[in-house]
Amino acid sequence: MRAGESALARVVALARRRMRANRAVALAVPTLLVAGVVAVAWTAAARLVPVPDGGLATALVALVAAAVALAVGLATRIPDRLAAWAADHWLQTRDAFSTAVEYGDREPGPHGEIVRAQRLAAEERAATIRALPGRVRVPTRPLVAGLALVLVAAWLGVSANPVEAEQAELARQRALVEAEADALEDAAEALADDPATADLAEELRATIDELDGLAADEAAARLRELAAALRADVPQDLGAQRTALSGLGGELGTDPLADGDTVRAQLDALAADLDGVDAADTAARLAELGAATQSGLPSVGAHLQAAADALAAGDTAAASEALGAASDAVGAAAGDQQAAAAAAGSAAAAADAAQRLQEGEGQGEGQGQGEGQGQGQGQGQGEGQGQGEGQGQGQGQGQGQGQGQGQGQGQGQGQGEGQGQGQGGGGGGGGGGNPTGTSGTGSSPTGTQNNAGTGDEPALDEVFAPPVGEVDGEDVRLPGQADGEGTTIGTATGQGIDSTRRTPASDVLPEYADRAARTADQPDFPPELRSVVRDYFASLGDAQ
Amino acid sequence: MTAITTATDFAALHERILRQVQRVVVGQERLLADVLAGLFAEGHVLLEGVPGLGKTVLLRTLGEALSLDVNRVQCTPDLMPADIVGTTVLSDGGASVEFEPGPVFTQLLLADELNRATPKTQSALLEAMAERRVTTAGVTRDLPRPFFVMATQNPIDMEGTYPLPEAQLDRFVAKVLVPSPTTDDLVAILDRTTGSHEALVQQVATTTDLLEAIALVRAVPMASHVTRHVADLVQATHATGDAAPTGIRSFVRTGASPRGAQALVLLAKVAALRDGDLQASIDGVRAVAHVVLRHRLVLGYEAMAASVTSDELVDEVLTAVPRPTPAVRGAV
Repeated sequence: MRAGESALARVVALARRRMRANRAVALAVPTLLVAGVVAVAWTAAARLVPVPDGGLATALVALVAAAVALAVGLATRIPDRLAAWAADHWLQTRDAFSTAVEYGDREPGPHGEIVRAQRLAAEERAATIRALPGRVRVPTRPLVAGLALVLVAAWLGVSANPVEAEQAELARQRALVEAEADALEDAAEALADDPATADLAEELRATIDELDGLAADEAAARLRELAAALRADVPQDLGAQRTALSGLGGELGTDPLADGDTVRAQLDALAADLDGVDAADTAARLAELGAATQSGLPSVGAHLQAAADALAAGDTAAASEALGAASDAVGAAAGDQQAAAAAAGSAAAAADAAQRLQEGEGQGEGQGQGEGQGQGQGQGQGEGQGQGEGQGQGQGQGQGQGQGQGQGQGQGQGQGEGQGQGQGGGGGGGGGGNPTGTSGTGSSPTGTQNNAGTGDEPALDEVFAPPVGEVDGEDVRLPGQADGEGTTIGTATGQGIDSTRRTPASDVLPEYADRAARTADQPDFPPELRSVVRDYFASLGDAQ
Repeated sequence: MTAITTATDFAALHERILRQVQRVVVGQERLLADVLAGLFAEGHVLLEGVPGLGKTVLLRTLGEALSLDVNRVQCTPDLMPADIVGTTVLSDGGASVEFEPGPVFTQLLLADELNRATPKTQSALLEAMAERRVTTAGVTRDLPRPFFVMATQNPIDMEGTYPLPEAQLDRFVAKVLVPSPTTDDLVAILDRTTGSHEALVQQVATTTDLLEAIALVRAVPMASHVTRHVADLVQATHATGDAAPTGIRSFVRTGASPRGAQALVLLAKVAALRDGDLQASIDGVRAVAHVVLRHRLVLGYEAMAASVTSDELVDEVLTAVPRPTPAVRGAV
């Protein structure tokens, strides 16, 4: 039987379309259901365990799978014989159509008349049929369930995924760790140049190698350990120098080097032109320049002011010498900035690492090393290490602790409160360090001072926290009369404190901070000042 | 008589024969239809029923209506094979031997109470039923066409009987159970048989008509999926069949043979023509399943112990093998 325009062929075509539709639905609905289950399971699992979250695409894939199944069903090839059989099934024609279709291609046998009659009868029956009974079977419940699952998957897909956020956070932390590893690598290269810090550089490199195989949190912990080790292992002189260079870096940060270069150039020009110029005019210019540089470079300003005074007094030699000193001070500032740049890099790396460890569980440690000549200055808060050599002046201002080291000429000057140590340069304020070089002069601090720098003695990184009971105390006389006269009724000999002892600030700062925190937590402590206290000790801790 | 070349001719012939037989036999429409189906399939029919239900009358009347040569054999334990197939006797004063045909040489053989004959005598019918020929004294002789064996057996009086062997049972295209008449039918039977009036049966078909009808039946087309359904049904009657139901697996020792499948097809074709269809259908196959399969299921002792009948097992087979649908998943 060839599908043609006969009534039987039309019925067969009807049956074929119905079969394809039924098959398409039969394929698509279970596919939708299964795909929906998988989509929901996947999106739900992505919120429980770290698997890729397809998001909305998962639901779309389920729909696409159902659509593909639908298309496959509609494209199913169905032979005429099967379609006729299905027509017999739906129309209850007792296999008349299927028999007619099947025998249509056969040669009639000896009794072919009945075969032809059967085909004619089937055609006549088909001619009375306009449509197949019933309609396409659609399993409603599975269809609704599948659509509901897809909707649930879509809803899950567009909702926030905590696991994914956590993964992103881990990736961010990992990136931070890698960045810190790069910074450590740079620091290790800098430290490797100095034999004193070669071991530290090796440790840094080993740590960097370990970081690649560690998880972000493990890497963060490892960096914390390394940060603590660095604080404990950095040599004292490097610490002092670091503080000085860090302070200088900060100072130069507020007073750009370009300005310093301009000042120096002007000073050199002035020194060269002192002879033969009008003294009053020169003195006025020097005074004006000194006032201009007083805020950014106080020592330079002081020298300029001294030169102006000497010139006004007619002492051109002293003026020239003062100008030379100012020029040297500016040169020292410029030279120290190179060392400070390296030190500041190390300090910034370490400070940034510590800060990131606090903020993002990242880790970082920085170290820097540099050499130069010029002026050492220490200021501010934070922590870092630096090393510098050179000549210059030290100046400290602000609060905090720091260490700096410098050699050469210079003056120390400080303001504010703080503890520090300076060698040849100020560190963190306090006393002006008496340089180990020649012509060093120290000026008294204008603020509260816990130690005074005297030459090479540590001044800025130690505090007065003498142990009790190690030395004999002084005799105390207790007057018994109102007029101050009296008789000694007894003498007690006890143990006192060694007022000459100094303790490293890093050893006592945690205890001080803890006590301060406990005190601040007392009910009678002003609440508005608690944060001030905590911030202060936190800044001291950061500076350490 | 007109030639039987169309389904209409067949249906008309069937109706004429039925009407004549029903002049004598009251009711029993299904029984008559099954017996006629066996005839049009050119098969042998076994009727089983208690005595007095008119089995013999039915067969005799059928022979009269069809104008067939009819012989009747009353089977007894002392019936010998030669009493059925014939024997060689001296003739011409002993100068020669001559074959004296037995009652089997006829068109319609009525073997009454066949199960009372000995197995040896029963086996004398095997060749005649299967191959429509008889071999005696080394000489094979064909039987006339058409050749039908209509046998009866009594299911209750089993004393002194010999159950038919499976091989012989398989040669019956159908086993028809003769039910007891209904009350109305019984009243009609009494009216017809206890008075002075005797019904006359007219000849309504010739041998030629019957042979043409038989040929027409074989020409009825059958779709391949119907044929496959027949095969599936037969396979399901075997305990080892994949689709065999539990009852078959538990109680049947041997299922239907290919000859049973042939009988299913032929009777389904007869049923189609009888119902006015020009093709065999799945419905027709399933309608004749009991008649064709019930005597082909060889039951074990477990079936007798559990009082499971063959018809119940055929029902299980029909349930286990449902009507097929096109093998396109989800399409129908």
